[in-house]
Amino acid sequence: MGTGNLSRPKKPQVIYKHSLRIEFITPDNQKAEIGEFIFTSQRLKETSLNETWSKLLGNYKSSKPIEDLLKDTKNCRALTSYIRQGIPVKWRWQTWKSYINLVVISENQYKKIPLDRQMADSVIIKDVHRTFPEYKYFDKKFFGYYGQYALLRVLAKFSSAYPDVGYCQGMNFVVGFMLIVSGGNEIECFSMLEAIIYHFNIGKFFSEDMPELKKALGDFDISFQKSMNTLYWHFKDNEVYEDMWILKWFITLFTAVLPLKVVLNIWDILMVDGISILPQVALCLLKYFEQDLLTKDGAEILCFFNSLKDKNFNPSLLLSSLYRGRKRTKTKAEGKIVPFIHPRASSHSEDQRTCQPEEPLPSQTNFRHCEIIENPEDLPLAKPNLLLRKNSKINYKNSLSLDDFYESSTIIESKNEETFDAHVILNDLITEDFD
Amino acid sequence: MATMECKIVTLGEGRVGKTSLALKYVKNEFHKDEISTVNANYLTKLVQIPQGSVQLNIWDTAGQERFRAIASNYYRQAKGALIVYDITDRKSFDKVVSWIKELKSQAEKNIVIVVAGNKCDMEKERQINRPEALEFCRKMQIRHFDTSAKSGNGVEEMFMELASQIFEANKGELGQSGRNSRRGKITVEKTKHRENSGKKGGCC
Repeated sequence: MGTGNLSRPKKPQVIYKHSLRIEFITPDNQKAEIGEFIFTSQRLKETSLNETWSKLLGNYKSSKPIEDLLKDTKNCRALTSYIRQGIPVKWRWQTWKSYINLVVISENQYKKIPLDRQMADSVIIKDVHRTFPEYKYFDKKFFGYYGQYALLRVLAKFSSAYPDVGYCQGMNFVVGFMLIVSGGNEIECFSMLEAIIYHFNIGKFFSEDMPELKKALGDFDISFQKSMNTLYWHFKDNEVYEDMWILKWFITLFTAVLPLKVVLNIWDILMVDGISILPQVALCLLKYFEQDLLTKDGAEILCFFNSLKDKNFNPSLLLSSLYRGRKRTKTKAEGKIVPFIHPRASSHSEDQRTCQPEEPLPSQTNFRHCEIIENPEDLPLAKPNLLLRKNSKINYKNSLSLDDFYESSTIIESKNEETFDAHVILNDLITEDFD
Repeated sequence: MATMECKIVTLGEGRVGKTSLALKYVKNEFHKDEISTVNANYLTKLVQIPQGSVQLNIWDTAGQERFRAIASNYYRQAKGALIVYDITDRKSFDKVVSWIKELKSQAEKNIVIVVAGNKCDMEKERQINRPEALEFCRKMQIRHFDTSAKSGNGVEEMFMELASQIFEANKGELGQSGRNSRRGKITVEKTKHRENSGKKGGCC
């Protein structure tokens, strides 16, 4: 420490102050099955669920049983109730996509969307390695920076495609969660993010000033008081205000608040019942911990909310009161779920108001076969055993493009354990001729 | 003995180490890749200073400015503020001025401010000269600390200084029974030690 080294010559221009410190490692297994990242981390047991679903899907022999099932209106109802009980990991992503009728943009379209450089440089890049670092997909020990880059790209591309929303902290957890669930399918996650934000109309949750979020907080305040008066006034007496805790629950759609095991179940419900379910889930949570909370004072309540992620609780018990006392909506399938129309997919009509998927999309292939990332063959390959040397002569370019991250994040192997600055490595990559 | 309860907020650009500093101090933990903060986190610690004891309720805020628009409770009744910058990041230092301005206009008048130049374990990449930072803080009449959440350097001293300055600034209220401010209320020292039940490495 101290004041020394003032006269040290400055390093060449550092462009990315918060650049990822990276060593590129090829993921061991590039083709992750859907939900694998959760399986390995959480060891979910769900045999009974699997049985039910196998039975349910047994009638459909095609390659897209879920879609067939959804087309079958009679069973659609049944499916809705099954979904609420939880979806088996291997069917989850497919079901979500089908249920909200996701239109996945093509790989080319995706690649053409520029990255929001300014946002990526200044904000997003600081968050990508701070998003679910405990999960394998984002853990550089297992996947290098593979997952982190995917996250960066999805967020930066989204920010440039929807400048009115941009990027807001919290979205990183939403996208991170989707990447984990989808088995790292970057393009589908991008479309899913669009779908969630526009289908559920929560763009203004995240945008500047957050008007929708403010409204949601106000609404929640009212329903909180109505349903749990004692606890409500206990909170108010202890000066615990909504924006101190519930804001985070809403803006991350619970992903950064609860154990992922529980978040999965909440999202299952979210897909079926829409965004209006958020405050109800929050109320369920409060109900679940009501007795605990009543004994705590202001600081303790907030600390308690902070530690929810480490709590072990039973999601089905937690959500058991969710539908109690609720009027059965006529058919959840009809009239409720409006198919999401991709902003760029103008050819779709807006009249369809069923959960039936529209005609199958050309870009959709077999869903169960899910790649981590877009087809790696299309990306430039680096020498497989390229060792990155820390002290190699580096020609600093004046600027680095984040597209370099895009290009270089695929398959470059490094056996070196040391960590580097991204710009150093990227320059290495740029100056070396791979062919 | 009476305990003074006070709220302090951490402010600063994203990724400068606000959460890490608070965590290091409260739980003596350091994670290289700390989870990014959404909105704010809450931590508490009871501090013994020669004059008495102070319970610090640390309100650890998110770096992204967007959240300021909605969280009006950030500064409400805060007795102290910790402004953090990253010594390897010029931009984060330039922001310190605007934080101070914001505090002067939004927060209570007698709020105690300290500035932390964090990540001083990365001396090699330093971009802000120490004399420059010291001179700046002297002009502003604010204490400056070199800290490192990684090594723990300076962290304890900084929070102790903050606690004792807050104690000095607010000891007038000690005699009264906290009639106007709840956050500054005087409570009989709790026998129960406030412990967060969260496991190690949890969210925060």
